Amino acid sequence: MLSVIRHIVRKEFIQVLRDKRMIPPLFLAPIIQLVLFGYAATVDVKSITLAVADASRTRESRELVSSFTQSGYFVLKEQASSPREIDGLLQTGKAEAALVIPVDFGRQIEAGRAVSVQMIIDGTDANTATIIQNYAALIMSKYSRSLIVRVLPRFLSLTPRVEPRIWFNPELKSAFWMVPGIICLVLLVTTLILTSMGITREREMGTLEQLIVSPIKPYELILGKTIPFAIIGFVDIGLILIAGKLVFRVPVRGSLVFLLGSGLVFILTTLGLGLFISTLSRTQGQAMITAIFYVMPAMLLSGIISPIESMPAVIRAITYLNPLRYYGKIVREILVKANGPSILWPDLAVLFAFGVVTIVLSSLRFRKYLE
Amino acid sequence: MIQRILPIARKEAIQIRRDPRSLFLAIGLPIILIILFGFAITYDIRHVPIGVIDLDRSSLSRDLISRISASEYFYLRFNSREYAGVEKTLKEGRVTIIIVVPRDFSRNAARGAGPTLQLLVDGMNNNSALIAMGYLNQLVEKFSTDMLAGTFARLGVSFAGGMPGAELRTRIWYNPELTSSNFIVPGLIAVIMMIMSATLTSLTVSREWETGTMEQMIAGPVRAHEVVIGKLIPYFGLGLAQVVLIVIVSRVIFHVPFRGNLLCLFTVSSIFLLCGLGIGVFISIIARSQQLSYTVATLTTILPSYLLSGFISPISSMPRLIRLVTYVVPARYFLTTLRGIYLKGYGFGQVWPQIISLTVFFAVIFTACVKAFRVRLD
Repeated sequence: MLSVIRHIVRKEFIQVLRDKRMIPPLFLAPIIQLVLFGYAATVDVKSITLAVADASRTRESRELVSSFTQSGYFVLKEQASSPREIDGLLQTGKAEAALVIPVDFGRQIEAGRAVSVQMIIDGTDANTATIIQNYAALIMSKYSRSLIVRVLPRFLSLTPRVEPRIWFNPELKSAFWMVPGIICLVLLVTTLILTSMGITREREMGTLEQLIVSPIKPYELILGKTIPFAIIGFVDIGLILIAGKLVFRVPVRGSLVFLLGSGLVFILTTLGLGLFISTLSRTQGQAMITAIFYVMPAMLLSGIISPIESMPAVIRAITYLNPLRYYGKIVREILVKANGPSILWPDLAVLFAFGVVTIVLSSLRFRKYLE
Repeated sequence: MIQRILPIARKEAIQIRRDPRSLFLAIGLPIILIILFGFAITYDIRHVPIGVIDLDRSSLSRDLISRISASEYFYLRFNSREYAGVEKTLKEGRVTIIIVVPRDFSRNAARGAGPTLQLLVDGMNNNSALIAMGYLNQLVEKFSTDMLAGTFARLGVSFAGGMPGAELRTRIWYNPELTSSNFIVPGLIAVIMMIMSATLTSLTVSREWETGTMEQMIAGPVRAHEVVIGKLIPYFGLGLAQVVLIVIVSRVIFHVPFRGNLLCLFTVSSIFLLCGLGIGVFISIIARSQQLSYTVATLTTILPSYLLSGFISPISSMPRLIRLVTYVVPARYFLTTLRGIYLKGYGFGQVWPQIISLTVFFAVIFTACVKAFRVRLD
């Protein structure tokens, strides 16, 4: 049995790697993905372009503007002379936010009275707009309180100060979230899509018939066909961990053995699904599009891309059926929080159950399909 | 020339039709994606689970805590009197933030000795942590202002015309309620079109290489550019059908306002579609096997159009080197245009630079296809 499987594995490896050009995409792909995700997918908003229409033109108004620019979030882009000009700047996207300071601003502040300032935000990107709104509100209330305290210094230390201490990821680097996510995606894509395409390829070429009439047993064929892609998947994990460490300094705080072990459990599911898809498909094109049909929603509903807690209740309920959700959590917590089986066993158990069910069902189907 | 292109296009169309399941999936996937994205992907952080350790137990601390837990951003998981076992809740991910009110909190506040609030934050999800901390800071700021007002009132200090200081009146244009789907759905058109157009075509030519039918075609009097055009036509039709469907779904299900010019939308979409299809054909010409085509297509189209187009995070926040790379990602131009057309009411007058960029891109990729094809033939 073992020697049969070994032969199929060898044949499959030769077939995949014979095409020399297949090698860079298989092994460079994860690294490129990592770099793109790590650098490009930062959700923290910096250098917001700000336009200012300052009708007051006083020391006070300039002070207000500089409290915006000195916050590090805003960059002064345009000095508009009229609110109408602001209209155009936002319309063309030259400014993302605008501050309109009224004529009497300086006078009112000096007299110690309340005055209101208008902030206009381009809401096209709702996410960025929310963040801009938060920053602006914070800057403004700090500014106002500094005014009160300037008049009445003894009130300075009446109000609470917030001292945050951030655990696990003190610099709040997005790579700590992205690297585990990419490990999941790469493992999912290489094992699921390439397996299903690899098996359908035999069918397309007519070589599957030859394998069926040979004394190879179905499970030997299944194992032989899937092991190479599992190995490629694991090599990719290794590459991502090394690149993540070197480029983004994402540590592996937990147990490496546990990480790879849980990867094996996850692969049960993806290989099973790959097998299942191959029984549904006659051509590689069909296999690919069916696989994408599964991969894209699985990715979206895994919590890797946007947090599950913010999703509506119905969709949150659906995510419990997504194996990627559990695996994503496991990888993240091993890398970042050094959590072990004592904390993660429920997730691992669910993942294992998924794996066993999909492998058994799709093997049964694959057998029937071979006959 | 037309007589030679049409048969190729027809053959390709028959091949698509003969496989109704793939056709169904190709049409169904965009709709499923748009619904999932539209409903599931919200970046507004809500219901962040928090824990409180109130060592002070004063009316001041209770007031502050009840304000925080009453806001829709936070969800109070526990309110404890002691530290024991706290580390575990953060490690297990039961809470994202723990607010520690020190024993001397209210005493320091009364004496004016600078009371502090400690936050223990789980930084694993940097984005959620950052936004949640922002919300918390705001709530504390608001609380502080009210505290001062209360103190002044008690001291009998009154201000004619309100507390001194400036108040911010925010107005949000183009998307006043900051509805996520209003900006995600137009962006999705770009992402989905790119994925579908490039992956669908990436298999067409490599399939012919693999099955050996390419040799038959070459044996005929067909020219390289005719094959490329013939391959593009049916997928172009399929792609336009997808655009129409997505536009309808965005209107009917998500009620995304459409303020711009519909003709302009379809013009830009068509050119963009040609770019995507062109990339797919190019990959499939240079790659010999379908597996390789698929892998390269994923790498060069799906991820960049997703990450480098400004769909997930604004391009202006990316590092400079990555920002430069975005200029060769066609989805970047398409995405800005789409959001502009949908929300800001853009027409041809505003989007012509993007139309030119995309046309240039298509010209380049088309020439590359024809060249690569000739090289393969020799």
